[in-house]
Amino acid sequence: MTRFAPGGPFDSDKAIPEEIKIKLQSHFGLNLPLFDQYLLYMKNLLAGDLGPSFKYVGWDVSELISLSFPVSLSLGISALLIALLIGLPAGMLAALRKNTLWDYLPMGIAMVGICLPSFVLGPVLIMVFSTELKWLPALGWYSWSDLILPSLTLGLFYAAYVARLTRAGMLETLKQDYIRTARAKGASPSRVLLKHAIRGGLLPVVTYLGPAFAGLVSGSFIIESIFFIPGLGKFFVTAAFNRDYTVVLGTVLFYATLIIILNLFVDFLQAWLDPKAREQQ
Amino acid sequence: MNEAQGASLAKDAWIRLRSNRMALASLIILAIIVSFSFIGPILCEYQYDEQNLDEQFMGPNKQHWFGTDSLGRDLFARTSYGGRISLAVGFLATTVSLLIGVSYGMVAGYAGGKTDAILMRIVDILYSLPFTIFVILLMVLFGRNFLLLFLAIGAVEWLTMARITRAQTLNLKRAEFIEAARALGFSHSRILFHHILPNLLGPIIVYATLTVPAVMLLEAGLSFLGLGVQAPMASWGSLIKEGAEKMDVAPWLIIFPGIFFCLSLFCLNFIGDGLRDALDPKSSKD
Amino acid sequence: MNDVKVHGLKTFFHTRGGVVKAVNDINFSIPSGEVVGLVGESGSGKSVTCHSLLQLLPTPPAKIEGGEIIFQGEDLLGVNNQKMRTLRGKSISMIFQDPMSCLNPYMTVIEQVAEPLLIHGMAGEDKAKQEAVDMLLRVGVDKIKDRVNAYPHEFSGGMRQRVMIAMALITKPELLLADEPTTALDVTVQAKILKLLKKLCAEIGSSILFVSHDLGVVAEIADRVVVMYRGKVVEQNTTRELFRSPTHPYVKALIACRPTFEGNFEILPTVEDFIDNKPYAPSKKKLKEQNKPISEEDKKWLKVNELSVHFQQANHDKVVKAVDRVTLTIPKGKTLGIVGESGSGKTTLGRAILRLTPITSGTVHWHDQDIALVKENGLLAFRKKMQIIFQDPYASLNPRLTIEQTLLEPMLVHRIGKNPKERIDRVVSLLEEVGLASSYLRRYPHEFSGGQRQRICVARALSTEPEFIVCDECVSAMDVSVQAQVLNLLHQLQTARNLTYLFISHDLCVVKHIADEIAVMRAGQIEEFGKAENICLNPQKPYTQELMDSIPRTSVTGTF
Repeated sequence: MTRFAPGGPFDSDKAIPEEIKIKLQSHFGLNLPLFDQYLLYMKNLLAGDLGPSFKYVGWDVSELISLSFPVSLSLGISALLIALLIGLPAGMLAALRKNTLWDYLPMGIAMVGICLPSFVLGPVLIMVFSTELKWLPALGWYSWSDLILPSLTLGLFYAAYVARLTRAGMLETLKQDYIRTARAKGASPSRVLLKHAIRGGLLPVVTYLGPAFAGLVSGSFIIESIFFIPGLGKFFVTAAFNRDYTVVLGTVLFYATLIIILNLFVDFLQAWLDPKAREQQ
Repeated sequence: MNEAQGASLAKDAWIRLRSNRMALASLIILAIIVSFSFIGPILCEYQYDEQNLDEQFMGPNKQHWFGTDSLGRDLFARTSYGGRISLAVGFLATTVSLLIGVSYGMVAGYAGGKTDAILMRIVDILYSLPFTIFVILLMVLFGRNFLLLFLAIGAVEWLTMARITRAQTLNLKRAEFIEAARALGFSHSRILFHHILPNLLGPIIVYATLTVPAVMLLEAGLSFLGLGVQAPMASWGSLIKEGAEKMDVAPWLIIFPGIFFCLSLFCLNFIGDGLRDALDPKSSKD
Repeated sequence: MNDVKVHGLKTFFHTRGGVVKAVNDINFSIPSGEVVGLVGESGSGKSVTCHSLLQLLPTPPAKIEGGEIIFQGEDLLGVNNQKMRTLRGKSISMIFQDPMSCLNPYMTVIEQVAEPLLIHGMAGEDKAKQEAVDMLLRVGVDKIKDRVNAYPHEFSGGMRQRVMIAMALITKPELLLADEPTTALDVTVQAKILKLLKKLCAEIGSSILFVSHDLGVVAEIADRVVVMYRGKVVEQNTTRELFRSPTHPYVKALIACRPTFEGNFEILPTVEDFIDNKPYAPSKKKLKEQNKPISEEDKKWLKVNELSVHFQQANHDKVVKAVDRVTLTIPKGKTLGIVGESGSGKTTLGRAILRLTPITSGTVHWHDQDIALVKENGLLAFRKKMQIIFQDPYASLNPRLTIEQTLLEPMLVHRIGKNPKERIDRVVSLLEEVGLASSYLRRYPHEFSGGQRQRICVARALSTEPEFIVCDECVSAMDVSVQAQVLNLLHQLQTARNLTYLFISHDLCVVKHIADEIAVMRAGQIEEFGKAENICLNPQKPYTQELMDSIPRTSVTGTF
């Protein structure tokens, strides 16, 4: 479908001499009828070959992905860890100390976190921690310390969201009749929380993980452009701008597979938490 | 008849919203921001695309209240113009998502059974896709068109709306007053529009209020990537992008649009939360 | 010595609208080893009292303002949280109303039953589990032998309540608080649970505080009864004395306004008749001629033949036969009562006759036409003549429409009344007919009480001038005093308008009170069908017999 778009990969920037263009097109099979192009692509795809890049001459799409994806993956994982490690405790604290400072403070910060887009937060963090304080490197991807600012920028939004979800989920669960039953048994507050409330309270967060994974992928586009990180997101956006068809298509396919796997994982996690869901599967 | 319903719903919400100070303050601030965006250009003697190469990178001063950018354009004019675009995209795309989401959700919820299962399965699948990819693809494929921009965003944001509407419709459909309406021989369209829709308004309004900031965020993100509105037009997102690039030289370029943008998101979220508590205390956040 | 004494207990709710004195200065005691019934209508403060004993109320808004609760020589209101926790579940246990929501869906049943032993350090992990299995077997949860890892959702309501009982009694508490433990259950299950509770507590030696809205149920199990009304205790006595010679007018009313097997077709007394301390003279006036001869044609006015409704269960291939080849006739101007437990198909039957649920097979003959065959677009004419009243008056009115709009809409759809003026007049007269003032027209449903809302629902059903009304559990969710008013109204309307009712209920006493004929339903089929008198006093089938035996005996005779 990408092929129907106006413009081709070779008509941008410099005017390429006509004969070179034709040569290039035949090299990539672009002069074949559209349907044959499609067949060829599918045939290669089944063999695990996503085809060569139009722009990065001499590179295969699979090679490009395998180079850039680990970068994005480490960014995504650290952002997710930040989101869960900050969001879950903050949300639980807020739910347990409802309508006190311990509720208002984290929830106020969470609200700011949700309203502060990454492309504002990112530059602000750079300004504070690298330009002013010179604690951390601003851009690029050379050492582990390069990971801190981008993953914070990406993770804080999700931390805020997870905190809100956790709070709402815990409050909803703590209202349930079976929590009253647990209290009537003489269970201590910590037992009520850890043994009875936590599973039900965390279900919304687990359900949210699916969209969150998708969101992290989208988020990586922006983060990687802000911090000049050579990850898959930056790579995809560049490819899209350049109309590098095979790269765009290959990346989308790769993302789709990734998302499907992650969602399966979420389904399993849900089934593990909820005996009723377990039975349905 | 509809007036009375609207009045009672609005009165209800208003009374409860009034006691929520944060929401009330947000409402006032938002009103100021909206009027700034629409009246601002009249107050300012510069046009948003008026270049003045003698006055590059001027800090905020008497002439240029918010300073100027790399082409000497007045930032006050640009921020207020960008606000118009951002807010317009926010509200228009929300309207699109509302129209699609509410009708889709109502059909799924009211029809029930297999129709419902299939329709919601589609939503489930779409839900877990990183939609930015598709918006990016669309933008790349069909060019950077303003109309297309909010159509695309609206098409992304309708999913949650559909889920909420469907869940509420399903609940309402089981309510005895809907069964009573059927027993009285009311037609499906009468039941849907006269009995179900008015009862959906509460959650719909709440969610729509929360969709506007989400949409604005998405638009700003796309503009930031260079896929949104194109120069010389401006939105808060594209202004922030320009600001982020020139941050070292001219920090005011990111500060002013950034403040306006974040403040509007803040207000909209607070109003949404306030409305949720006022109209729909039971629904959880998702 | 080990009596539990409650002195001057006050529990108030501090809400935005002001202070609600839910429990206001009450005194009673629970003698050791006895069962005390705490009775009252909704909002009387009985549940709040029960929860106050264990201090389980959410604070705020609830606050115990004063009084003493003496348990084992100690004032429970004076002890700290730590100490209170050591009592909860060990010395004082509690069972709640809804067994569906009171068990943790994420923990296995055995874990939950064993938990009190673990919390109070009364047994180690393995021993606690073993004891839990023993206790579960003792309360009759036999399934646990094969399903050690069963979760609550795998059990029926009755079984779950048994699990709750096992959980509450596993620590052999001195006091068991039971908050409406059988209200959500079917009457036959209720009878079994009551028996089980009484037996087990006698074995263990626990006293019980049994909270219920149903005087009949309390009479079945309690040695003493405490009656609450608007936050106060109005009367307390031994069960026998209370029934034999009630002194407070409210208690008299409560006993009198419940329909019993003794009388029928009488106007029921209501609380208002007693509460003003007017001397109440029971009217023996029959509301209608019972044996008025009716023509052969009218006898088979509505004829249901071999009616079946089957559902395909979602995600399963199993077909549920909700209604299975049911044959019935309803005479004109009479009431057919349908009795059955939950899942018996009684509600589905009512809806199928009105074509609110698709009919799988069979016929419904009415006015020389088979309703089952009428096309969707031809139903309007039938809808006009056949109406339905539902159980929950809170859910059956559109909250966004005023009473006027609610009552006008059916007239617009069915083109009744020539002009707006005429229609408004009709709305006003309908309201008067159901006993409501015309000044209510512009109000919204939430401004009315449950009884008033049900009257509005009746008015709406009448707005199309129907001949036939299905009453689906339409008094089941109500307090007995309100129930009496609505039953009286239904009686009056039937006489005045020559209406025919299909009266569906799980409550045999109510059905006996209103119906000419009764059909007992079970598993989608008619178990027994005949004259109301015969069914109730001389049941032929064992199931009907069991149903009769399950009804608390004071409800049958009206006396203790």
